[in-house]
Amino acid sequence: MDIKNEVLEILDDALGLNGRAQAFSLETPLLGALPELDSMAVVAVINLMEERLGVYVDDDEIDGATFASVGTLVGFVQTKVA
Amino acid sequence: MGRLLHELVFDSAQRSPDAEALKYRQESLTYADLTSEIQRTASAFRGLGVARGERIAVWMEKRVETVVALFAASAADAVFVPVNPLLKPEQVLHILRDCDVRLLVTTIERVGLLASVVAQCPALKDVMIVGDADVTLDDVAVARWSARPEGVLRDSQVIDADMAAILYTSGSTGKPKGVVLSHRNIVEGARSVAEYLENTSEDRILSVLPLSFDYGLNQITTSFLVGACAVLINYLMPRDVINAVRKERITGLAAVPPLWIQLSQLEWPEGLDDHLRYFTNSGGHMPRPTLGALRQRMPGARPYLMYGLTEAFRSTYLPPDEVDRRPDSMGKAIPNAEILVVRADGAVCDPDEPGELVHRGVHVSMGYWNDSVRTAERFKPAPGRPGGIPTPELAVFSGDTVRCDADGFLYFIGRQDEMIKTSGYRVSPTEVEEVLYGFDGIHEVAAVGAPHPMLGQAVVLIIMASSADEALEARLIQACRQHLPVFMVPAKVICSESPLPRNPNGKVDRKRLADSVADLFADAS
Repeated sequence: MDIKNEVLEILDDALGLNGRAQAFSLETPLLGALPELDSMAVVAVINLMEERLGVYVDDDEIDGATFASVGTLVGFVQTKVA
Repeated sequence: MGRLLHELVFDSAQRSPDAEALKYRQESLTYADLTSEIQRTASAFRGLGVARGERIAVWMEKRVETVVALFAASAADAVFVPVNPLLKPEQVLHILRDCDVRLLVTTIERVGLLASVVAQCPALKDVMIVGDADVTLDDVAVARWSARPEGVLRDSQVIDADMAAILYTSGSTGKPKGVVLSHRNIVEGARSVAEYLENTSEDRILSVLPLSFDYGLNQITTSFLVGACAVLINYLMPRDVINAVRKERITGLAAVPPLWIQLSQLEWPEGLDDHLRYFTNSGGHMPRPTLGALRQRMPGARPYLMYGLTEAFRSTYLPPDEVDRRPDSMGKAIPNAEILVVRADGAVCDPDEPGELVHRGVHVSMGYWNDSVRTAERFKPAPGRPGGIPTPELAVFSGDTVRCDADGFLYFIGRQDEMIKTSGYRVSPTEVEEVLYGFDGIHEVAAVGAPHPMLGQAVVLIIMASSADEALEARLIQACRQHLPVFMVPAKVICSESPLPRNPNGKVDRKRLADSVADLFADAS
């Protein structure tokens, strides 16, 4: 499974980015840089991660730093699916 | 004593140049650092030809450059327009066009979203970009934040009666309106708040809320007025806020009801009482169970319950000592404001008689930019002006119904218009409805607010469609997410095959629709 691509598709669908996520690299900042990502929208991202990747994410496991960039989010997902 | 917005920083730098003024992640600026950043940026703005009174919009997340750009606009005799970082390009376009923004400051991550927007803004001449990467835009010049030249700033030509900022806010109809604030509005607002919160240079104030919101901007202005430190965060999870309070040894925390509700449901670490001195609520009523839970989690912090609207910044606060005696009260007028409760004919109400809240004093803003009609509805001659004074004084008529008890404490009763108040934001029903006009298969659409235990109100969309099914609902929500900022997206869509109810004027009766969904979220806590 290509985790980075999975994560980008989840971001695109959950946040309604209309394909913009396909141009993201691991260095692309997320929190603060994306108008679509806020404290309400993050719930949709987490739900979709759970649904598509079959992982369970506890509120205690994540914070703003998890969503600092594509790279930090991919890193987090890798620890969950490992 | 500082009179202009940027002088709040410059004066504190005179008194204590080495004190910490601004903190964001690993970055920390002293008052001397912040002053020189503001001066350098202001002189760069001037170098780009920005003239006195011209508008500089700032569309980026909270970060050091955001604060510097706002105060530099003031130091350059220009006017700053903070744009909520959650807005979509369509709403940013409305703001840029509505007040003829001359210069836009944004980030490299965001500028790509604006490629088609800038071409539609004839007044926009320059875009200044924070972040590294080469960008060109059609029709406007691009400047780099990192390449701001060193320059000497000449003294301000403006006085405190001149405009300093335009903050965009929604009403009950139409697109957001720009509330024009003078330097005096902002500086005196900071002074009133610092007085009742008893802020000092020892404070470390967390800036959680957007700077496009007068309440959020005030954490910064109050900090700089007293020489305290403002700590910026862009939070995603409520836990981020608690972690920042602990890590940064925060003394004052300001939030809105939806965030307080989330915070009240989390575990709080021990020891925050060593530094956390007070917390404030505005932007909606704090539910009593939430207040109780927060006081348990922060027993040493004093709660300040407040009320305000952007047009007059802040009107009332309830002194912490009164919270147990009158937990449902909005309190009394803030320092240097008078709050009246008036009848429809302008006469002052008797004790406990419901009437409209009217705010007079130094916080009353300069009106809505370029909109004399809606300004005349909200800004009217202050009641009780002695007949011998031939010039009018304008007061803000809030549209909120309140009562005042015999002891002078105010109580909120309800709103007179159809504006939706969700997540601490004002949302106009028509802003949401507009997105769905012309949508295939939909005949009528109305957006209303339904009471919601977390959000205050949730946006509910009621539509008449020829064939309603779940797929249509999903497409509507998708369309809203595409075009609207997150906080405006409806929480629920209700489809009807019959026409929506009308009021006697033949318009869709939003009031009746709102009543019909009043219990929709009664169990959703």
